[in-house]
Amino acid sequence: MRTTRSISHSEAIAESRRCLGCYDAPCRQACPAKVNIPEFITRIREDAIQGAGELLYEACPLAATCGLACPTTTLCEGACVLQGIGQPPVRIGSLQTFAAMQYRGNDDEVGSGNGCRVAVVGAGPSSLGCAVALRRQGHTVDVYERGGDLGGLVGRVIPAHRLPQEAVDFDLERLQRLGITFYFQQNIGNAEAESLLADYDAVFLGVGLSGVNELDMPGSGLAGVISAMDFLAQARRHYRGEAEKPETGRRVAVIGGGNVALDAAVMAKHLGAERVMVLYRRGIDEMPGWRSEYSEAASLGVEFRWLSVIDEFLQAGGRVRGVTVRGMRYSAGKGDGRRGVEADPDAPLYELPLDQVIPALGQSLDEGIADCFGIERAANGTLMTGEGGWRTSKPGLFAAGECVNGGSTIVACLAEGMAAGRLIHEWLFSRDEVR
Amino acid sequence: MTKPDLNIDFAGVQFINPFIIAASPPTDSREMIARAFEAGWAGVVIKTVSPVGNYSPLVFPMMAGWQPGANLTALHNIDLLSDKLADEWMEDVAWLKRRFPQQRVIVSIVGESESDWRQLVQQSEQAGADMIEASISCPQGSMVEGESDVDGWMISQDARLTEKVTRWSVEAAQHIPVYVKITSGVTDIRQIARAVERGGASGICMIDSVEGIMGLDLATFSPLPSVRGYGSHSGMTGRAIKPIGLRCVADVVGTVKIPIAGVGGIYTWRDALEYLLLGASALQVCTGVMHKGFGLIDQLLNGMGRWMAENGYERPSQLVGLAQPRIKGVEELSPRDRVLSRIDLDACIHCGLCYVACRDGAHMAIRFGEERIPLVDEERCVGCGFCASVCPVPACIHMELVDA
Repeated sequence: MRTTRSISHSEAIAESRRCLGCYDAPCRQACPAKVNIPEFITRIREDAIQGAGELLYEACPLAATCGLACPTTTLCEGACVLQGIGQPPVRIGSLQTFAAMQYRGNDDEVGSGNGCRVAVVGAGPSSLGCAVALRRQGHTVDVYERGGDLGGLVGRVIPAHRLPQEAVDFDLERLQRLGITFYFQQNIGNAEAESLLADYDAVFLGVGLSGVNELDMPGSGLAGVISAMDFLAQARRHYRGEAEKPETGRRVAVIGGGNVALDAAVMAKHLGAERVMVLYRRGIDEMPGWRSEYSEAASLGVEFRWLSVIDEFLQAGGRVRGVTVRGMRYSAGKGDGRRGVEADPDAPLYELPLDQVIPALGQSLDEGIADCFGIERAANGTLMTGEGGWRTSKPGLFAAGECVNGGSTIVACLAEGMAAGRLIHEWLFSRDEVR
Repeated sequence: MTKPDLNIDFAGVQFINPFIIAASPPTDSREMIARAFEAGWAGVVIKTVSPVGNYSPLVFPMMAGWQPGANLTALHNIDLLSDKLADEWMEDVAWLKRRFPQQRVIVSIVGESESDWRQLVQQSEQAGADMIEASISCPQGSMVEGESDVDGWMISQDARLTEKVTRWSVEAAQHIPVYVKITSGVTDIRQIARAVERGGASGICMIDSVEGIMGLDLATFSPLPSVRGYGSHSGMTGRAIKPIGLRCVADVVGTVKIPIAGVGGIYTWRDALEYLLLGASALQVCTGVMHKGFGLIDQLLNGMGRWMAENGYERPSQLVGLAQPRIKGVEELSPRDRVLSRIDLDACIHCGLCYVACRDGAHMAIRFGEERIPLVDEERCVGCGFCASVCPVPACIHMELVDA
């Protein structure tokens, strides 16, 4: 499947020639995984595509995925110095996926077994990064995943038009050849947590944010109200031929301003909605969704109602038939650097007829996981890690990714997981030396 | 500002401007030459003809580009002569002369024997050719019957043979001038130029393509262009050879009195002016035309005419050789000046290429910290100019003469 980042061989060669090969390249600095971008581009240009793939997978075990899913305009491409002479940045994301998906190299060299065993909880980007980093050092790594898939949200909710399944599968199939053992459908409760801590030398939590924030108001359980995560997951399964097309209204409202909201809005359009309106409580400048995704949604005709919240649901026979919308206005912030918002008494309430409402209010940590491992949580609800990063309050227990950072990019979570894996490796050795 | 008159005289022949298309594929057909004349080229040198066509069959592919694309650095070819026989060409020469009386038709010739050379000159003159170019510099080699014990494998690598062949051609011409095209691939090009002059030629054309090996096909180890897994020495032309051509013209100018037609890597009016200023009085263009088309002439004429008007020159002949006094031995250049690199930080895009080049290729005189601002350490900078050579931003770095 072609995406806006697809690039042909001839385009890739021409594009690779545009790279200046900067010293201490700003694009690399901007990359959470610190991919040596000028070097992999040089390898594309000089017809050493396998060498490019080798470099990419060394630094970024989800290379094909990240090339498509990264917010490149704010990361590598945003840092490209060519913009200083009025030229568009090198299409780094496109080149990355182009090279990654041609990589036929052997699986990563695995160090000899060293007798240490590490359990990894969750199978999203941070867990996979951690598992790869540990496996490269020769540790035995067992991954425990609650669901049935690798990749966490990567393969579940990002729309296929942005991230085709074959790119995700390419990365995940490579990962499955590294000698990591994956256990699926594993619910971790108190007893399981205890036995993991007892049975393994170290445990890593990469559980992400699996709790879906819900609209806490009457009517949110009506027929025709579906969370964006569920809607996108079903759409993704539908495109993989594993599920029916998700029910999609003619007039759809998506509630929220993050990337998941934007993805859901675009997906609703793709699935045939006539009008899709995004209701966001703040303005465009405060929207956490990436500008590139906003532009894509807007270009598809998605309408945006800024400073708008649902006042109440309107229903008929147990089905949503619309909402009343309340206007907001800015107020003094709470000292977190963001402007506050409050109901605008001058803005009239109005009715918006709808037949589907898709809340996309963000995700949060599944509270049970912190409790069953007995670790502290930060004020914002994420797992607390201490000095040096990735160590929780319990010795031998590490964490990284969205369950710690509260929400980030695939590449950042992957990089954090890899860094945590390297830290665990060092920790295991220093522990053994103390013994 | 009056518009300059771009007419030139080369070896007694008048041209409406200095630009002539060299013997090459663009001059291998009457139809193409007609289009070149319509575009405004002052003359063409018909692709080299011989009495028998090619001595061996043409092979394909015969060309390969070095860094292909709009900025093609060099073109390599294993082309030979015109496949059309001299007899066939003579009809076309006559046709072109009737159709384009203002423009000049030069016939490039090569023979294997004295009688070949003489006959080709006579035939061409009878057909109405304006001049003869004796081609003794094709990198694919050209020899003469009965001659052994010669240097190199082109005639113009051997001074004795060069003089001999020149004389045959000059003697055969009744009224039209004969000039000789020579190669840069010799130890001392001045000796060859003197041989041409001794042979009586009216002028010299330099340089021909430069012998090289374009590169290898790593699948077969064959030189490029690869013909079924084998290749050969190829003739390199285009932008990359301009410095060689300029140097050869500069070397020969003071050595002989006959005029020089400069050729080698001319793509722009600047290139053209450089050849004139170093001493060429006519110019030939080949790869530039092959690459960009006959329309290249517009840019050449416009740029040259505008520059001449702005600088107060009325005719190209006024420019010929003006740069000569500026050429000295390196040991004669002033060693006392203090030169420093100046980087325009407003233009700088902070790529760091100057930093790496200076650090590992020069004098470690540029500092480049986390803030990515290149700062010249004036204690260390000797003003070598390497930073300016690698900067990707036009006019960002220049070398400044400062008080010692």
